[in-house]
Amino acid sequence: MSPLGPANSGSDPNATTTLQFERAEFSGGHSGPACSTCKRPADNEYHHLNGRVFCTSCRAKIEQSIEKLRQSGSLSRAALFGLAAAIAGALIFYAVTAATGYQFGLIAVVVGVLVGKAVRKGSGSIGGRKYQALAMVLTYFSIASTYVPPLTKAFYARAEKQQAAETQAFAQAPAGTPAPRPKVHLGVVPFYAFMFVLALAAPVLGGFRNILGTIILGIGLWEAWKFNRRVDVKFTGPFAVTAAPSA
Amino acid sequence: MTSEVIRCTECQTEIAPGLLSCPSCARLVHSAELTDLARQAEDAQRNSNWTDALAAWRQAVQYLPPGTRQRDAAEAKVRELSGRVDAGGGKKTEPWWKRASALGPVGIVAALLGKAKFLLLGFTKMGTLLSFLAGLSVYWALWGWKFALCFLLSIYIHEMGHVAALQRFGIPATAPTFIPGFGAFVRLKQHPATDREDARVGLAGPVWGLGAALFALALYAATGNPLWAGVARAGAWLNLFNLIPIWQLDGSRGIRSLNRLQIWMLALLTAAMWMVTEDGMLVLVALVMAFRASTKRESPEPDWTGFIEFAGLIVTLSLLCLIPLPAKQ
Repeated sequence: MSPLGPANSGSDPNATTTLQFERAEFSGGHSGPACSTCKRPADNEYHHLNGRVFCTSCRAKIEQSIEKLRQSGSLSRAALFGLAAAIAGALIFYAVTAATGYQFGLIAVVVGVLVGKAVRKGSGSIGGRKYQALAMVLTYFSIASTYVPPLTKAFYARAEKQQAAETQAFAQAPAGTPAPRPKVHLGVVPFYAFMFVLALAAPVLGGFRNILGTIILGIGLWEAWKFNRRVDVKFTGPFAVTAAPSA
Repeated sequence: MTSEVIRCTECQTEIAPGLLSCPSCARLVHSAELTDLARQAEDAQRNSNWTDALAAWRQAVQYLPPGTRQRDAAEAKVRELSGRVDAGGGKKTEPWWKRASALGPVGIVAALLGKAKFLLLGFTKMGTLLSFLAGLSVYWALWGWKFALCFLLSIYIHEMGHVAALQRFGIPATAPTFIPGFGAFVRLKQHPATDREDARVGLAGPVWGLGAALFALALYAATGNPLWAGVARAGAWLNLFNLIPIWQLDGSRGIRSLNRLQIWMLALLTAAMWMVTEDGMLVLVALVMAFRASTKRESPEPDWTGFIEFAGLIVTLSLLCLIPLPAKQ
């Protein structure tokens, strides 16, 4: 169903009483079928796309230009644009959490929209399976990265608790008990890399306890997917303009 | 719409599926339907039933090719009738409580049952019922069945607010569909014709949602059951969240008819309410509101009805978020 067009300030609301519904009265007049692009009359046949009439030559030109656009699409550029959007999305999540104290599931959708749009722009707006997959992976990475802070917090809390328990046990232990083994310290980068890998698995590992998070993640991924659907220009026709022979 | 190739009844030219007029002789494909709709609209108008007239003209618009005098006239009619409905026209009948009270207590009960029937209308659709049950099962597992059911019903009432406004403006739409963890939505089958129409439809959800929250609060006051306090607060919070003027949230539709000054005033009001309640959600609403005030295209004229409605929602929903949550048992 087509959306309503923009307001026409010159229209007279009372003109409906004089309306006839037999023949369309085009504002520019009507003199038979004409191509929407080259304006030449379509004498014997015409083609159709989105409510508009095209001649055979213009249909071929439009289809060729779409194909050219599809071939010029760049996956690396789409990945670059998508990555930037994924980072921006994660930053928005952190900013909103810091400003409000709430963790909004809606941000997952915002990330999906941002990444989806960015990948589509990078791909030259043609879409397709590989761009859909790319957008979904980047969206998943971006959303999963938001699990890193709570995971890190939980990790430190558990480590502190464990250390306190070990220290207490050692203090109460009889003399000669071997001291607890020193902890292995990861560097900052390997630690956060490990946390990120853990975060990637978190939505799945959460199981039913994280059902809402999983649903929201799914909506975010769907948004990213949706924006990169393959753009198909589907003409119909040719349709005969000449009168059909009578039976 | 037709999906097969048809031939023009007059010149025999093949008409592509989707075309609304013969490309050769300009004969309208849906001529009979259009004549019928115009007659229906005129009949409705004669009875001062602007809602039905509006619905008929809306339907007619989709049968008319763009760029035609008929389409322009039908669109102008839609805008004009939409203004009348917005100004309180709709169906020119006496208010339901007046009609009901004339019939005594039986009439009042019958009228209330009629209103309840509208509220239950959504559940007659399989999609609504199944998605409601899916949502219920998820929330039940998280919060227990009592809270889950009441919370989902308050979301449902919010959505039925949109449905009521859509019906009033004659806009075809689907029944509510629930998404667990995300709320629910109603899909419009046609775009609103004016910004004011869009704003009224958008804010109708939070207005009905506010009603549901106030009802839960009244039940809390009457019974002292902390469940109702939780439902009132959660419902108010969710409706406040929906007022963030972004994406497809209700707030985004709500500000559509407002001019820049009015949106700035709402941003300031939201900031003031944050100072009162200290709810972080209001920071987000205020920030996004300020962003939209500085980027949104200017509305041609201020819409004070929409402004008052939006401002009232911010104030009352913020205050409802102050209801203390009952201790976890």
